[in-house]
Amino acid sequence: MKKTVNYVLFVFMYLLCTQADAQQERYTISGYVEDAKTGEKLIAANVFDPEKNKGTTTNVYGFYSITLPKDSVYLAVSYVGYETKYFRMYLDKDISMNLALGVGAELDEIVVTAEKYERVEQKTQMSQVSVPIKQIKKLPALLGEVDILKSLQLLPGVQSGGEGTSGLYVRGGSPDQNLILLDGVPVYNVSHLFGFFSVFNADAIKNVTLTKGGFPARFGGRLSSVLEINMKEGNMKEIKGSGSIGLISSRLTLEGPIVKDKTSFIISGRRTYLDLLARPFIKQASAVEEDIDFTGGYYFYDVNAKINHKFSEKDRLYASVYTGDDRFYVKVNENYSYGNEEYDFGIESSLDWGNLTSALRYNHLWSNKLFSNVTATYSRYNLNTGITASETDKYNGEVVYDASYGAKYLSGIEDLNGKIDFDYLPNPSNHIRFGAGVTHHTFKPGALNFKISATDSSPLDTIVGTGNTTSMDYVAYVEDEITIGENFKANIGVHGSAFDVEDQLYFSIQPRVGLRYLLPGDVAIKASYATMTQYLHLLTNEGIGLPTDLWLPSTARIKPESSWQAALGIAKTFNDKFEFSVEGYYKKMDNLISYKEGASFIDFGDWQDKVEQGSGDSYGAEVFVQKKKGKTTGWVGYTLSWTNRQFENINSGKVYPFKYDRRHDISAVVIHEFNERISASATWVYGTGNAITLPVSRAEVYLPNDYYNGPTEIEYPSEKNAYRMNAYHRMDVGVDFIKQKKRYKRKFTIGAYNMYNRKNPFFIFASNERTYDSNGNFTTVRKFKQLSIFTIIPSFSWGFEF
Amino acid sequence: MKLLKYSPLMFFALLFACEQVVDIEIPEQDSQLVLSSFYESGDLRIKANLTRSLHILSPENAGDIWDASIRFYENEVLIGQLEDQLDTLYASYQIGIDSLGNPIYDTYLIDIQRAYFLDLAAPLQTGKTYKLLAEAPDFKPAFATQELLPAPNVVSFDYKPRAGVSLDGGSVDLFKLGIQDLAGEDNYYEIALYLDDAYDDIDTTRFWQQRYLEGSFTPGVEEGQGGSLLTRDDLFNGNLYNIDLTTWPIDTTNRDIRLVVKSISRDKYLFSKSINAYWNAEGNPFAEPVIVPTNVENGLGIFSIENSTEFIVE
Repeated sequence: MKKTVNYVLFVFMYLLCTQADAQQERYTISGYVEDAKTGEKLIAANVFDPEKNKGTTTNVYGFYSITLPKDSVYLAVSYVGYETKYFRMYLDKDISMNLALGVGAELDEIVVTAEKYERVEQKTQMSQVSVPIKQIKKLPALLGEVDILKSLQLLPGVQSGGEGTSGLYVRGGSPDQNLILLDGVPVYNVSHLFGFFSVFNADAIKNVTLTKGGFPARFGGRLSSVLEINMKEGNMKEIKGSGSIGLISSRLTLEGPIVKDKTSFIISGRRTYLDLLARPFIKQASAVEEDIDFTGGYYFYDVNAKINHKFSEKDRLYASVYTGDDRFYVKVNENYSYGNEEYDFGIESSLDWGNLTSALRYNHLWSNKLFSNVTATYSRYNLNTGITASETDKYNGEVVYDASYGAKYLSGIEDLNGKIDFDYLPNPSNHIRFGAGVTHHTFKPGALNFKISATDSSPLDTIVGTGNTTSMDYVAYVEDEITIGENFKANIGVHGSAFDVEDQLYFSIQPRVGLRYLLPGDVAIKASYATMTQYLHLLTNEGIGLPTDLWLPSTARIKPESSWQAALGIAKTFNDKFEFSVEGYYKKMDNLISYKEGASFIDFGDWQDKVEQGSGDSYGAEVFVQKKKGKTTGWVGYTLSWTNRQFENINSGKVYPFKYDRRHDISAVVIHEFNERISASATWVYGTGNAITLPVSRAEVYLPNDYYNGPTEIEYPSEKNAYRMNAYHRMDVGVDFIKQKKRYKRKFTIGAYNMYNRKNPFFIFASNERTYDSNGNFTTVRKFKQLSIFTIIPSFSWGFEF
Repeated sequence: MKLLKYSPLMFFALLFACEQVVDIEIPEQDSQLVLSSFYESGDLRIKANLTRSLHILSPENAGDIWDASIRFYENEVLIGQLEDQLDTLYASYQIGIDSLGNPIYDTYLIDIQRAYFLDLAAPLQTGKTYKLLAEAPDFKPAFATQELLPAPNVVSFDYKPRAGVSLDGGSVDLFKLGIQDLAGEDNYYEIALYLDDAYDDIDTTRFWQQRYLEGSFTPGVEEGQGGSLLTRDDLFNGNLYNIDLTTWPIDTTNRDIRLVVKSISRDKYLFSKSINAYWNAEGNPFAEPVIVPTNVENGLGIFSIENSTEFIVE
């Protein structure tokens, strides 16, 4: 309690300090910044008075508010990829004004190109990267499937897991430590097709921001990163559409006004057709056995939809839904007759998993300085897998034997959430955010339902496994983005949370500090400190994104995970073109969970018995050089890092490298627009090989009661993760050919994944090989081998926009 | 449309092109002595086996080492040297009754074990520290140390045939145990169930076969090697620990049941737990790799001394 009081006092003192010049007569300009063509609100756009050196940025709803002294105002509004608008006015009253950016915006402005105030050195926030969705769409992609998460893997401090997978390992954290928010709703399973594709359809996405450290107080619940993904709101002006046909999937997006400038919608869908493509081949294979009919396949789909309605300039409502599912199915039927006997056998198996998220958000402008958003969300992730089999024997048309067997496994998580967030901008020196929320979680840790019935035997219908668990998650936060003088900025806040589960109540107070000081020569020095607490744990198999991943709560036995992270860095923009930043960080993590040695997600029983809790740390440095403007854009990132784990009963309690401990990680991205019709992109990545455990020796050990079997051979592995796979490197390329047709714009994309056909390791396995001499005698030799799954893979897609 | 027509072919061509296999080099490893020795309180001899470790890719057979010297120490004082001997185990079973009404037995050989043995003048004593030191040409001397812990204080024991219910609804035999833990120290327990094999060997000593125990209804119970169960006192330090254990229904006709509760060292606890995990993980590509720990310095294997309390249901 004493700590809480201290934090509140600390924040209050800062507020007092920054109110020193608040006695002048002041007025407020407020409103929304939006795309002039579509009416889409622009997130984190800059609204700045360069003469007074005061400014603000829009929030996630595009709202801004800036309060300035009564005087002549020279206001500039800018956003990456849009033309900057400047305009001058005399401020002698409060003004409400929506600002539209882009070609054709009808404002009284002077267009300039040097946006000094949106440079990296101006921002207090460190360890944060926003990648424009337009840039993401131009990057080469595996099988032509644009993938937001894989694009983020190209940033320093962010690593991929296995080959081609979309999991994010941020500063030594595991994928479950990323808070992934789609329109503010947590998405629990972000992968399709066993992790090779992410669930986010880039056509429906407006904005992607990844925060790796220095977390503002408004975020909490995960240790390693916050990934905010905002869906488009839908074009307020006119009906627009886009779509594409690719190697494995097709997409279609429609958006437009329902009531012009008042209500808009967007709906976007994607479906793979692996199953449709494979169907003729399966049918052909099935036809070989005339008594057997075999069908099977796999597909995934996702649908994003959103409606946005403006009741008035002060009230807006957003309703958004995302649903996506993966489905794998197999069906076999065998039927034959022999004389008077007729036999019928059928087996059906399926594996379905998917997310549903929905959010209802209501914006209200209480005054030109106070903005609020009320959110109600529902989300769920479910895994259903089942197998049913039936067998019928008939003799002379009479059933002599009839049996059926069924097994169904269900698991998942379901959330109901309500929260309220406020933005209060009393003056240009303070942007205060505060809010509170509550989430009701229902965890379904897995139940296996058996049903058996057969002629002449008792039927069985039983459920094995753990029952549902519910919990309540409460959060409250306050933070202030403070400007003190010309050169000093700070974001100071506190995030409090409580988690109520199984008569156990956990509390956490998490202070957050971000500081920026501008040195001469426009070099910013930045520092941050953040503590985080995570009440949810993911039971997962490292490496592949299996649908069997299980979200589970902290319990009386399994404590919440916690971390603290400190970072220090410098940032500067060179020649108005190149943003440069270097950051060093140290992150300590406690109460991490890991499967016990030998445990596997396949095991049933109490999950708490299968896991260990331990600690970890990660430290390193990241260098990032980015060019955002011009015909050639892109970035180069380098990460030098160390990541370790320690669990009492793993590796004999000794510290060991995390599987994704990667000493060196390099990524280079180049996008070049030759002209309006042709653009090309290339990416190159290099990473130190993943840490692995390999058996290095074998021995025969006699165990008690080995009367019959003799000694037992045991393979002794190296210390955990003591070996490294070969280094990973790969180049991807892509070229877009765009042509404006009479009624639509056509885009044809060709690309290649792993251009120079590098055989990168996916996993290593032991293999016995026989070698024969001239007499036909053989000797068995054991070898380790590396499996590489993706060699060079060309891709193409055809798309359109109207 | 041409693209659509050929896309299935292209896709499947890509799938077939995915797999590539490359050899991986594993560095050489020094061969080490592998010592295996298990002593149960009351035994009058020490038995040990000695093998060697090999490089994982070596085509050789490990085999036993018979030119070694293995010495046994009590509190660092030499007790004696283990000798290479054969241990023969016979069993007999009744095949009929003679004209005088006496049972007629047939005898058969169960096992011949060649190992290192040392006969003791008296059983090992609680609280003392014992060491095995193995030396063999071309190997670093390997040794392991263990203390004989006090026998577990089992304050209650009950056996109820078919009194329990298994996870799938079937009836199982139930054992109820109460262990009074010693406060202030880390204690590890192993619980093993044996069934009389229904035969008596020619020395009239019983031949016990181990039976799998299930303890998933009691928190903190873990599976150990050979069907035994393990627990440690971090959940019940210094307190009474009540455990419910089950096993598939036992046909007790002509069969005795022996339940043994052992005080074991942390070394044996980790070894037994990891051996079980090792077997469970075998062939499962998704399982975490298991490192079987050793308490043998400069070598591998396990030396364990256990003190037990046992219950026999006749």
